[in-house]
Amino acid sequence: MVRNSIGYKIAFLAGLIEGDGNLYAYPNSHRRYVRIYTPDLSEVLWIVKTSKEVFGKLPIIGLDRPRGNKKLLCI
Amino acid sequence: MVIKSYYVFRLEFHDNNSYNLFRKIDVVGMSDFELLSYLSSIIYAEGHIKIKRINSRILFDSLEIDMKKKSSIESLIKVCRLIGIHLKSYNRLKRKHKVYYIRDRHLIEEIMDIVHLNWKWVKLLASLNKIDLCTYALTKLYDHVILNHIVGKFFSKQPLTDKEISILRRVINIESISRTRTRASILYTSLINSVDDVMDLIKSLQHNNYIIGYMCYSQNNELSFFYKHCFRQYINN
Repeated sequence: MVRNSIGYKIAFLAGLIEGDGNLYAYPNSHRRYVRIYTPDLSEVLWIVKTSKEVFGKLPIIGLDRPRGNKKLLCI
Repeated sequence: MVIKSYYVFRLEFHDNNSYNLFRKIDVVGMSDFELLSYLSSIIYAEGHIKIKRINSRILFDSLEIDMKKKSSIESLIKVCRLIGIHLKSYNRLKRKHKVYYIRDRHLIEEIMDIVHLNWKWVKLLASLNKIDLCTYALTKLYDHVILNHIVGKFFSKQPLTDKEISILRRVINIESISRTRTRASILYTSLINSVDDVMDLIKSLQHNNYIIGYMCYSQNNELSFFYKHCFRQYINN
């Protein structure tokens, strides 16, 4: 199917980076990387699976400080 | 009562290939379907669904995208021009950014279809009951209560309770849980792919703690119809 092609998945990833992420480049070194922030775990799962297909590599996942007004009450 | 925050995941590709790939992405050279998937992932990341309420009926209103970054706005408008969509916009009151919205039903269905293709379990839910508030609610329930709360804790150094470990065993396909494996490889082997899995998981919780806490939260903080139309059917059964 066309929809499962690599080009489509790259376009989708690029859109996610445009929305939630950033590109980082350091002027005095060759260090460059791509970063995505998301609170959405299904998105994380999809990115992990897709990056294995697209780059043959898994991303580094970390937890960020909880941000913003997104709070959850537990009783 | 304890207030817990969401976990925000940070994914990094330390790889020049991936950097170059995304830096060189040129919307002009893309095919129509690639453009559409690019647009729908921007909407997935930045946008939200607006729902209107007429008496007791809940109807779909529009897809909205809040844009603050100038470069994002430029690429969004460029993409829309290439596909031939005219985005309408208005200014958010008291804030400086613009809001773009789409009301075209046909286009919205296509965008939702692309998003659902990736998030399989959302697609299954949507096929049961179209895209509506129920889908939205279960998405939230799945992500932010069960997975973020427990899986997020797994990535931090907080202690896990026995119950949380038993849930984690079902979410992540490993026999004994150790924190030594890489995080991405753990998620890669996750078994959760469909709505049935999610529903099983929710049922196994016996409506305790997480779901009830979340419902109380949504009852207090969101509109009451949110509770009536989304959760009641799952909780009463």
